[in-house]
Amino acid sequence: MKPLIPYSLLIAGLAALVGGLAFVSMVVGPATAGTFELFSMMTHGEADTAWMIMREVRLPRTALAMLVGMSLGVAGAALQGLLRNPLADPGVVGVSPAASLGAVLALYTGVSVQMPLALPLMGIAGALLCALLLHGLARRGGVLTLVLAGVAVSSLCAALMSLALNLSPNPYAAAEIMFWLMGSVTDRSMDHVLLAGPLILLGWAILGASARSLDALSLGEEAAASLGVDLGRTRTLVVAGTAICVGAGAAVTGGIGFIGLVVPHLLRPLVGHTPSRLLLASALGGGALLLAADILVRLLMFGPELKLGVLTALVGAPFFLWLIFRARTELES
Amino acid sequence: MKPERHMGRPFARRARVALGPLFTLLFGIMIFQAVAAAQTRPQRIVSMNLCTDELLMRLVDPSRIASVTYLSQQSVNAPLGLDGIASKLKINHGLAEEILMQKPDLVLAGRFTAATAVNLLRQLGMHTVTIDPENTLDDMRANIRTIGEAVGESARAEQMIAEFDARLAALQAQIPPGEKPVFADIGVNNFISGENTLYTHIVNAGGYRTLGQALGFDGFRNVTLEQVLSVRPALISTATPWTSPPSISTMALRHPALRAMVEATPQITIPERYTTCGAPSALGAVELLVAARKAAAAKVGG
Repeated sequence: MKPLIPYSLLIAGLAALVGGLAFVSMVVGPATAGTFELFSMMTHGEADTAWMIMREVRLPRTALAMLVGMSLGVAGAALQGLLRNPLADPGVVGVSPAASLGAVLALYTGVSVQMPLALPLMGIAGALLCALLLHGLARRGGVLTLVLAGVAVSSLCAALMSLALNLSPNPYAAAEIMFWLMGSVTDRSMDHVLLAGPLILLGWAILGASARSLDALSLGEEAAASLGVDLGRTRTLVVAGTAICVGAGAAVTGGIGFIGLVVPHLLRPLVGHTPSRLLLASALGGGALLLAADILVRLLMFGPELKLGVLTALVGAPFFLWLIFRARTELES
Repeated sequence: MKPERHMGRPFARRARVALGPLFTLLFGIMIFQAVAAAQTRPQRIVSMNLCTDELLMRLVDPSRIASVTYLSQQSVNAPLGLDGIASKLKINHGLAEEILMQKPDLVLAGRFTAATAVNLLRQLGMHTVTIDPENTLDDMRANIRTIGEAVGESARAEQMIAEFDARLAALQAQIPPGEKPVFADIGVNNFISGENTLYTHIVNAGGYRTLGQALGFDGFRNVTLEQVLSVRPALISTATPWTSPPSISTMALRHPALRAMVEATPQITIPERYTTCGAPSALGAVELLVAARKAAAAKVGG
């Protein structure tokens, strides 16, 4: 199928969008603190504070929104390519709930009070454990086994998180867990970026390595195998790459959904339904969408801050419904 | 001989000469310390927690408060009588960015409030003091001391504690003798308070036991209707301003099984804000409970 616009133009456009939104994200402050307050601070002899806020508060926030959004986009595209199912989402491999569970345990046991970085570290440990488990299954079983195992892991992690909330004797600790699960990039520090960043890049590299095989897979498993594609290896690459980049992201931001599901859908027609091209386009699209959502969270602030994960689901779900409704003839034919 | 005779005088003179500046120096140091204390005392204090808001507003002059939480400007806090101060202060929503812009020299927070923001502020070198949620009245006294010391108002903090204790003792002297009856706090929220919580300690100070104590558990717990019905309370808490929007906790009160008990039992409304913080506001709850005990005793007597 011929793409609507040339691929290079699409990528350039999306990259410019990500860059532009990253700039806006650095410039716009929370509405309650005065959206453009920083500029008046700079011109009124408080440049030091203004720069410090830019460097230490907005930069990590912007970087994380971009990295996590891109991870969700690229992982969603890769999984939809691998499973040849438009309903696939990084959530189906169960790695986000596993990362959240690790973080919740850090909050529940109080380790995060003694050592703040224990929270993302335990989140990453949870994600990697889940990845190892799925890796074992993906090598032996088929795609169906993988998806079902992912669903089982998600449910188990969700149940254990509910258990932690259930047993929490202190309503304040329970509220903290609940707020963390809603997902946010607010007030993260450069430490969080340095912790998750390398793993996220590693995950992207692994997913990128699967691009060619995904193209072949779009012709069907048998056709792909006859073209010399090692299906087991492709599965391992996609699952490991997703687990590492999405898991590391979830470990610092909590649960952020719908980006990985919606973005590949939006961009698929624009890249002419070529899975390998969709990877890069979805990564940029995911980054742009999460940056935009995080900017919106700041502008919509009237009382307590709206959590990023709540906003993406709130906007993402109805949009996804509309998308399905519009494309139902295409899907069902 | 001569030198001996003169020995004393030059020495004394020398001593006098030395003592003069020494006194001046000592006096100078004292003044310097007093000035330094006033200077090192934080002048732009930010509070990120509802409970530290209350303590801060009671301990320091409003001119030294850079901001309190937006929660302190909500109407539920009216029973505290601090509206006049809170409404004039700047507010924060627990975001690091807002707080950095207010350029505080001290940030007060709770252990569980906006932990990511507090960690970030601490990492950026900001002086932060966090307090643990209080589980007893002694925890409350310790927290008042901690905050008092942090803001450079230790004397005022001690005075606050002394006033609290005096007021508490005066109220408790009015409690009629006899075992503490059960106060069923079903209307307060989904959780029922058992042993070792601030809520229970406040209720005990007012001359009652909580439903959770009667059922015999620690901390907060969700309790089934059956368990609630197994205890015959002497007093029931009904909906408070905090729970006035429909919530499951107040719905439970409309259950047919409860209705009979609710109708047969005296009721009381304790503004939620009296029991949320380990602060002098807790006396408001003690006062209401003691009044309820007195009313019950008068009824029996009459």
